[in-house]
Amino acid sequence: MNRNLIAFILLAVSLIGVSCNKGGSKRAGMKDGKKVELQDAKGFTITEFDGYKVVEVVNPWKDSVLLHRYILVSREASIPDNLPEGDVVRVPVSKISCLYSVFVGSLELLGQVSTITSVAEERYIENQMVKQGIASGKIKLLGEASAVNVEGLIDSNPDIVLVSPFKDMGYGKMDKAGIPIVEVASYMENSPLARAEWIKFFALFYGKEKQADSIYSALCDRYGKVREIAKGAKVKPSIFADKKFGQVWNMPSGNSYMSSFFRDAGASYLWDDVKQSGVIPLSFEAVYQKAENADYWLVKYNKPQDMTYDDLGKEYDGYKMFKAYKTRKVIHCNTNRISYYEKGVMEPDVILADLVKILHPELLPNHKQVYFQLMK
Amino acid sequence: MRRPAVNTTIVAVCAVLIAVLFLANLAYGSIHIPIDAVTRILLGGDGERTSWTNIVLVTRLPQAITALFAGAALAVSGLMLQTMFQNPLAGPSLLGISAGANLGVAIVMLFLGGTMGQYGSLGIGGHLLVVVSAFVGASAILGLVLVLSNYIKSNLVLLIAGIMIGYIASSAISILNFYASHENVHAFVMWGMGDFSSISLKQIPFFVTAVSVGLLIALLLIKSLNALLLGQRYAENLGVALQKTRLLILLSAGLLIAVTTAFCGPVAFLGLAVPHIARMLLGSVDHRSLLPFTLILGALLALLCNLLTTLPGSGSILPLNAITPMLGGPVMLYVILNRSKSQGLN
Repeated sequence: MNRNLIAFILLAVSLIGVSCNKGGSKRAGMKDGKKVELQDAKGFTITEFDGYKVVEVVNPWKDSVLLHRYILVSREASIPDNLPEGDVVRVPVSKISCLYSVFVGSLELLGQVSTITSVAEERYIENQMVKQGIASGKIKLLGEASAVNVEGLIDSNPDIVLVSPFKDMGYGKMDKAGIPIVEVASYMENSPLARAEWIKFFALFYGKEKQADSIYSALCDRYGKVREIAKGAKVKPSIFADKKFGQVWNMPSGNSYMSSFFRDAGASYLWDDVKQSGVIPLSFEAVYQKAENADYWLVKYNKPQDMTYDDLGKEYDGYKMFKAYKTRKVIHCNTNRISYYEKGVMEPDVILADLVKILHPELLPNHKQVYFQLMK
Repeated sequence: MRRPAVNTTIVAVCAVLIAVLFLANLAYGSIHIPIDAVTRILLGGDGERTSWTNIVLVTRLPQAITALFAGAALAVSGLMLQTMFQNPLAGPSLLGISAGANLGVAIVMLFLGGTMGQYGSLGIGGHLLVVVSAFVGASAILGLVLVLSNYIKSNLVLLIAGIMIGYIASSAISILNFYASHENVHAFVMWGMGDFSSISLKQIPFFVTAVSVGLLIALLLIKSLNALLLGQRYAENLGVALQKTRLLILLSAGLLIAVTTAFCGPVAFLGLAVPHIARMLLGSVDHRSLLPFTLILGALLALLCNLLTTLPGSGSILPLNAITPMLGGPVMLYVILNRSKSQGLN
């Protein structure tokens, strides 16, 4: 009896192991194409072939392993023979389903918001055009992105579904709907410019590569200019980020999106030297020891009302002991009120300028802050 | 059954251990502070660096006091429930009581769209809102289990009923989680990992008072709890007012679980496992010694768990609920395997 039980458990465990082990297939047969150079983004590659383009999304959690391959063939052309393995998408697409609000900013810049026929988690979307589409019933609602209403999705008849991939998570029934799932892994990029460069990825599906290139290079120019200005700073104020949840304070690592901003804004980020992926889980003591005398402290949160120093101090007594708290140098962004995730992705230059204005007011006297402010 | 002299020794050893662990909690953390500096700080002297003084007094001291009282509260509430339901597996989590507290807090944190911090702006009133919501949730589930206990005679069936109620509460939490914003879900998830660090020095008096009231009621119930060991009918024959006793047990266990859960999140396993460890060490089910001993042991083990959350040298820490089951799990396995031997509960 016991032995049977053990055998059963072993069998079950091995089955789970097998079912979880569906990694991406290896790259193959990609020699003859012309690779399109990308500037900052590392999460996808574009290769042009005669009659089609191959877009590969790299698995952000496993280097050099493919997450998804898309073969883009123009609507007017016939589908060539001997295509490599992958999802064939006829471009330009005319109807899409957008499961995360973070993509709307990029689509807006490309002038393609009108192609959205269904959305999930509509409460996060701030774009007026999408809101109107929802109100008039033109855009269908699919519920939560993590459990999409697949019938509604099929009914909205999109050419592609835009999703954010999560590690080791499948797409369940959605996978079987026969609609190409376009995995946008931009959030795994660790610099603001790399994340913004994914506009070129979206553009491929609309045949708007040129427009995306010019949008991106203009953005890079603007970002670069602010970065240059920040280099003129005489002092580099020290900074740290975020708050504790429970006992753990998850500090952005030296490889993170946030640390990139801090570096470029002419700040000295206290955990810049910890080059690991993701966040560093720290105790309050460890943060306090290092950041007690830091000049600035940056927090993001989602609350109905903006936080005050009083709120922050009441949330946890220890916060009051930081110099940045005492000298009123807390930088904040209430993502409930400010479109940090939707619009901010495509305005890293504005975010950077906000930070430079706060950290070095003399360098950008005329900039009007949008995303980050000093707490009142 | 052992002689009382042995019991006194165990209690004395535990008392000394508590003192040692309490000091260890103040002296040891992810940041190294020399022991003589800690001593000076505690004696009201100069701690060499202000950051050290702040760490010891503002973060470590309230955390150690919280662990001390929360551990005692959970262990005693677990013991009372195990005796009342005459079931060794009864405890805050298995009967769905902490799920009830969770649901209450989830409604405040997720549905009302705020975190503890937002309500923290209302001062003690804000925390009181979370405490009240946890208390109402916990008491509601406990009351429901109690009502069911009038109709369900089999302890096992009653336990299953409790677990089912817990599942229903959990599914309501899932629905709230599903529709809540990512930040609030994160805050709630982190809250669910257990945490002795969230209480500030200012809130300590409130927390300590509330737990003390619950513990005091528990201590006053010792006689009735002993009578309940013999069975409800027998207890009634001994002159125990059953309904009143049940109500008092409900109130004090509910208060203890609700207050600790509201402030520390649902701390796993302590409430379930500590009474068993106490029975094993004491070799007695007499609540006159068992209940005070469970109280002491709960405090001791909570201090130990709190100490173990700190990973030496790395500045990093583990969530509390990653530690408590590691300690509680093996004990529960031992209890289940030796169930036939355990006395007084079957």
